[in-house]
Amino acid sequence: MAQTIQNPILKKIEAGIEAKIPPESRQQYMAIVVSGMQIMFSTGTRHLLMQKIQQPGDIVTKVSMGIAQLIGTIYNQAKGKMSVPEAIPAAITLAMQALDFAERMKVTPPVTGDVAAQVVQATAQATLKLFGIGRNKVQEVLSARQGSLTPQTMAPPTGAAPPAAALVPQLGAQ
Amino acid sequence: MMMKSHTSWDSRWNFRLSGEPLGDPSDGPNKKLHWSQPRRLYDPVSAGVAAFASIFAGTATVATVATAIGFTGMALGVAGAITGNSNLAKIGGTLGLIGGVGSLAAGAGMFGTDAAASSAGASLDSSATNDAMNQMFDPATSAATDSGVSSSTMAAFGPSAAGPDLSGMTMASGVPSDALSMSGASSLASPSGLLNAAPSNFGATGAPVQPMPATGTSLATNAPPAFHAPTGLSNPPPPTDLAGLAQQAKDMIASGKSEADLQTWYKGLTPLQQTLMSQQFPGVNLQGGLLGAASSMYNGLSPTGKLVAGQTVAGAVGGLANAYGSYETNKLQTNINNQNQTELQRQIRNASSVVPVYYNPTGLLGS
Repeated sequence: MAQTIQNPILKKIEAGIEAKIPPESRQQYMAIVVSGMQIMFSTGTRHLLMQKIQQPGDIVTKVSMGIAQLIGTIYNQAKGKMSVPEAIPAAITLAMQALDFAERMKVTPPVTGDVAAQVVQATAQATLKLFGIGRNKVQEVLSARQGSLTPQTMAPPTGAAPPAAALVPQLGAQ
Repeated sequence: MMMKSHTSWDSRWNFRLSGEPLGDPSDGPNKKLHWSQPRRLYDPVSAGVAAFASIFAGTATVATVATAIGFTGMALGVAGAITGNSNLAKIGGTLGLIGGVGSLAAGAGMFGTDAAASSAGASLDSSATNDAMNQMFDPATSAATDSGVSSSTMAAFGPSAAGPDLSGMTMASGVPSDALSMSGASSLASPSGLLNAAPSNFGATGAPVQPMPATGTSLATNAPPAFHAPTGLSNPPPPTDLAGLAQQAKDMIASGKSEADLQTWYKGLTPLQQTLMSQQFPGVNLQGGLLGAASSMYNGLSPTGKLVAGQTVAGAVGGLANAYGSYETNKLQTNINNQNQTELQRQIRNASSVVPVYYNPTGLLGS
């Protein structure tokens, strides 16, 4: 079965993201997307995606968390060579692929713009959380932009933001 | 002479010294695998996440985190524009500005909406920042972490009787007006139209709106066909065009090409291209990816079925590892090809100590 996205909304989101990826980031982005598609759609592993999306629960949660796990798997396989920033748009592209697959398998009703928007946001949230990027990290970036920090290695997160490890039970529970 | 005691696997997993900490039995705070705890072959994602999330959070530079946030903003802005969700577009614009790419990205048309661009171009105010951060990082509004879609998320993104909220968005910003119409007639035959559209037109007020072609035709474009130009299987791009090679691979997968076709394509590359693909492309090694296909074929010959089905996963995932020159995985492929099942099983076990090779088909994406 062809894996070209059929849903026009999802197709446009994928195309829109790919059109906005800066040229210098395109290689990393494509590498992550291709890796994810290999795992999701290869003959030997396609049934895993099917199992995942057929689990009971909300399609937004299933797709976003499944894609975050997929990105984590690829990151592990990459042994530190994968660039994290490009993983975010790549994750969203893969989420569009998975959502379209779910629609074609009739696991979910035809995907509307509202559902697509929810999946985009949830996937971005899950992927950011996967890499430990939370409110504290954003505050550090803001502080750096305001000149109170220099672009050096950031200190481990402290304060109100949950530790990265807190994500593990959530992902593992999938 | 010291004698090593022979312990069965079961007793070895269950054995522990008295007084040794067991950690949280619910697998909570103590993420450090204790040697006396059972090895968790079937939950590799959790272990991996614990490792790399903490590593990344501890070592990432401000620039890297800012770029990640900027890319997030870009993606949300684009999705917000296409779905007509102005809230998502505004979050994207704010995150883009936080990421430090706001002004540059807005100028380059990186964002998909005028709302996002204007948000990015404006000075960052605290209320917009707080709003965006609340919606992205507050668990109460996180659709990703809730068991279902939260009420606040539904309030923000749920269906509206009034239809999509397009307030604050100007559709003459380079997004084709028809692109926001979700009727079947407006669907693009191929993403190449959008992809090949001149990026500078995206977000540029007053950019000409391209007429949508009939389904089954491709969009005319004046943009040079640099990245998405189809080159054909027998005409691979120059060896320096790594992104083009990756795009070819993606297109082949997307169009449902068989693994054999993929392998033929890969073999058609020059040795230099193969080397570049295998050594310089993180996560992409088509030859390695063919492990899944090889093991699938092997699966058809196997009387045991279940284990080999797991090996199919091992092959596919191991293929990614193979991109980084895993010697163990290469040996694995040899044995898949040779259909040496005993040796294959042994090497999969050995490989799991070198690279995460997952036995259980449900261990990759499932629980």
